[in-house]
Amino acid sequence: MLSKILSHWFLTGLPLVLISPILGFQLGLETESIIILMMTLLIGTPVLSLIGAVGAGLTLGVRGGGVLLSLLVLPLYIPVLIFGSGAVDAARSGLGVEAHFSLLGAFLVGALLLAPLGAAAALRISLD
Amino acid sequence: MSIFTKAFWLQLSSPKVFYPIADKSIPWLLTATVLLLLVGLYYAFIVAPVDYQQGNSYRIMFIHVPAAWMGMWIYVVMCIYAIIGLIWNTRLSNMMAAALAPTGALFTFLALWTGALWGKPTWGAYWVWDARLTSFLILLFLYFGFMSLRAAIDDPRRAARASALLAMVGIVNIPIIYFSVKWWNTLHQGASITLDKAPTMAASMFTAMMIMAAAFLTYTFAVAFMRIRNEILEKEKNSAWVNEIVGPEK
Repeated sequence: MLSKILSHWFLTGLPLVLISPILGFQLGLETESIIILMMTLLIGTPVLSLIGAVGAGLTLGVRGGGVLLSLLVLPLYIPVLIFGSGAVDAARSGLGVEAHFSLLGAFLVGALLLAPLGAAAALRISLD
Repeated sequence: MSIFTKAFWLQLSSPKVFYPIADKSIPWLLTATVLLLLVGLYYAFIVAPVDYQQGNSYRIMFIHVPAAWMGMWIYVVMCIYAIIGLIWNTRLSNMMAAALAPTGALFTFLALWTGALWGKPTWGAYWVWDARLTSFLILLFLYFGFMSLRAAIDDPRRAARASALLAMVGIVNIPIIYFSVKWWNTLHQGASITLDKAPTMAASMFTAMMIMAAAFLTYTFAVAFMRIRNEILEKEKNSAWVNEIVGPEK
């Protein structure tokens, strides 16, 4: 399960991390902010893939699964997005980013631990 | 049968035994709701004093706070029923979880709505991306997700199990909502009523709030039992005892 999620992240999350400095330069961010941005994306995007896996498992083969998937998963994405963008904001205004990073890291550790189990359980329910 | 035996409590999980209990308690619960609402609103509007800072606008609190409590409490209860249904495959607990979800969503929406109306005169904005407000909005979407996932899957057993899993994933949000005013010192005020301290408000305000909460509680049970009554009749429509109540299917 974890390897599936990891490969999903390699295809969606990692390119975003790599492309973010270019976008950052275009938007006129300073180098320091761009590094922070890359790091938040590096920690944050795997969480999105992990949560998404549970949602995808639950909506497998369901009528209107795509719409339903976004309804289930997007609200759970909000905290990650808030702290991810919060870190960049804090860095730009010269405040400490440690708290944002700690929380993002906590999300990642929690999701790494629980999401594969949840996704596996969701698949089991969908398949029987 | 004595209520002190295990068998008495276990038989309650049978729809056939539970149906008449739900059926008979609905009028009582509705009466209690109306009476409690009347007393609670009397206390809220007439007995409770005007707030020295917020004037009369604070009185929306008597809807806002109990609705928010119910929104969170119903989610926890719904999740417990869903987990029981997931483990022991009991039909009634799945029905109970499904019956509670719309009421929970209603109270969550009410809490957000009254909060917006309260926020305008006191904070100057209907909505801010404050930690408490955001996590409560997530709660509303979790209810929506729970209901639509259940509705989207045709097989009732699979629907119950999938939505139970979703409810379990969403339960992490409840402590976040509860502690959000402590963890992030943003706009929403901290709790005035906690278990370990005396409430920081006038006694009559506290009384009004508790009576309103009790009214919401009896309302929740009344409408949940009404929904579960329909659900039981629908699911058990081929059994003999349902035919006795509603007459044979035409």
